[in-house]
Amino acid sequence: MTIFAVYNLKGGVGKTASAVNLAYLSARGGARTLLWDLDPQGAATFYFRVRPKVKGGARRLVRCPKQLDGKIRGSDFDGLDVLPADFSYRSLDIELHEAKKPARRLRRLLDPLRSSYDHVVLDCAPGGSLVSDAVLEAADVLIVPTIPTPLSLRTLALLVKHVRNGIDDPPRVVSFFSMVDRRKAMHRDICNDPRARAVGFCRAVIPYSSVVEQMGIHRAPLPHTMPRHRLSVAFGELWAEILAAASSDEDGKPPAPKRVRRMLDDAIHPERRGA
Amino acid sequence: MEIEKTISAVRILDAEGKTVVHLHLERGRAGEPGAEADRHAVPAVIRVVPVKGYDGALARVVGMLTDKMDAQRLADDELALAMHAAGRRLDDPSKVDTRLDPACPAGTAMRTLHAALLEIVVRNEPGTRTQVDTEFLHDFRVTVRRIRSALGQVKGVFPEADRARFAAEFKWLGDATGPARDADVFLLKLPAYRAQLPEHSRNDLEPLAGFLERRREAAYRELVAALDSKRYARLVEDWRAYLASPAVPDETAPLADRSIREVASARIRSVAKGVLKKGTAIDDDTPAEALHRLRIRCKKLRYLLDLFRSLYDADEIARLVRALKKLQDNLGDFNDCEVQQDWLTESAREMTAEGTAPVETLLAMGRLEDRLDLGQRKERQRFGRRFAAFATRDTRDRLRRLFAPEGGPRP
Repeated sequence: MTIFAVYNLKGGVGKTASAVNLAYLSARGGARTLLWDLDPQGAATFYFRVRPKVKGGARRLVRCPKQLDGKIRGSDFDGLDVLPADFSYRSLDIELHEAKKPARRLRRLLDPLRSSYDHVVLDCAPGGSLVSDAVLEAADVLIVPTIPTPLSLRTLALLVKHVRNGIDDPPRVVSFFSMVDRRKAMHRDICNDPRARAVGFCRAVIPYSSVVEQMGIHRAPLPHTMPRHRLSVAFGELWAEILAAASSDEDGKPPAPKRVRRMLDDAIHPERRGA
Repeated sequence: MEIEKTISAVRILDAEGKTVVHLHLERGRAGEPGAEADRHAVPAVIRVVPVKGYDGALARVVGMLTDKMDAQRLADDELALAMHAAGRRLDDPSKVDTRLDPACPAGTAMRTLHAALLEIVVRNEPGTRTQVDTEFLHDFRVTVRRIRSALGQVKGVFPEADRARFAAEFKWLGDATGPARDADVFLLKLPAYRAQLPEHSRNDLEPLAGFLERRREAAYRELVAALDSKRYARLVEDWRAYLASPAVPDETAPLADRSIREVASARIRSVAKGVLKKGTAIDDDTPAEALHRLRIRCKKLRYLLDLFRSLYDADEIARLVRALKKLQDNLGDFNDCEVQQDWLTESAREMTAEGTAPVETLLAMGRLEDRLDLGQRKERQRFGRRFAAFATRDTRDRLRRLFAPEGGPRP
């Protein structure tokens, strides 16, 4: 079972839409997939038309691992199940803290699911917290949607440094450019930065599009409602790259923070860029 | 013979537009090949396919189909198969839902409880036979154990001759399920066993897997034979009839007219006292046998608490059961490690006699036994703490409060 976490300290970068679409693509590719919505906002839960209610809330979730299976709901799509979020997840931090070994606990909650699922996709709340650290410990692959701006690169550098130094069993870090607006020179320049690949950015890029906001109307993954839309195609390519990275034999060490910072420097000082 | 089927898929949606139940409507026409005009309609079948996590909706849809639409429910194993396909169970068979009136005479109350238990056994029978999921046999067996426990623990409510007779028959039934359940459990442990061996040694367990499969098949053949036997049919029929017939006063059933609460409390008091007394006497040097006996006592107590739950305050019982469960887990794990070691040794012996055990397999099994032994020692060390966590002032007070004899608590 491979655990993917879609995560970024920053909010509003397209985490939930990405998690939903990638989980859908994972299931469509034949892998038994579970999407776990860890964000108290419950957006992913909403997209799948599941009620954002978890019996016993965050407390029972953490303390009664055997009851986890009973909280899982089948989605409307073959091979894809959803573990919903609810508002009580606001206190997931506290619950993890009160339980022993919070960083390991999330991973242990997932262990009994090994025989039921091939892929687990975690949709994480933004911000840094005990939950996010627990996610970083539990995940095998960290997927980081990043808007191509200097501030985002700076945050990525922070994240990468933390993953390298602060996490015992660090996940493989895979980033991708999200909400890209090709009309903006800054976006273009950053996406085209030759260092991007070395720093872990996928070739596939997810452009900004209002159809993503419309996901809230159709309440279904984009590749399901609009399979031929360029965004669905882009997500398809992205998922293929993520899968390849996940199963790659290459050394899975997270990228060096200073490389990300060099990208950041270039972004802040466009005048330095050569002819 | 040709059957032409048209299958329409219907999705039942909730207020969010989420599919909560799938219905497959099958309409068919049957006849000889070639004779298209001469077809007979096959009775339509509605296959109800649940969606994981939407059990409430499933129950409502099934209820609507059978009550409002007069659909006839096919044999439960059909439904059980559909449930299994979606990975869900129809209800939690480990719960005896019967609500008892504390003032009800014990003879009547025990009949009601036993009737409910018998129905659970019968309900799990089709799934046990068809081996759809090991959980059916598990629940079948657990419920038979509960029946045996209720018969054995609560004496003086049924005339002794009757009680002894049915207790003996249920013992036969319980014993008949043993080998098959053991085989299932052992097989279920194989993935974990493999994971415990070093990478290069994982395939060495294959001969063991083959041996276990053969043993499982033989065990299930025996079990199905027992379920097919006249003895089983007679047991179910006779017991059902006995429970439905009114209680007749008998000098060997002096407690039949006492309130069920009085009878239950007295019995629970007695068993709980035994658990506390014997458990306290165990220290680090006490031989393992004492822990095994304590495990059985705890099981008896647990079965009684589960059976008579509805007579007492739900919250208090829940707390008691939670505390007891932790102790049982420790004793259970301790016992389980020993049982697994015995299985491995026995299997090794039998496979050697068969000639199906390569040296690598035996060595791997030896490695596993070693780990199990280590695990067993760890559990043994934990016992003291776990028992103390159970036998707290709180628990003792709770036991005293809940199961006080009528006329006030004993000083």
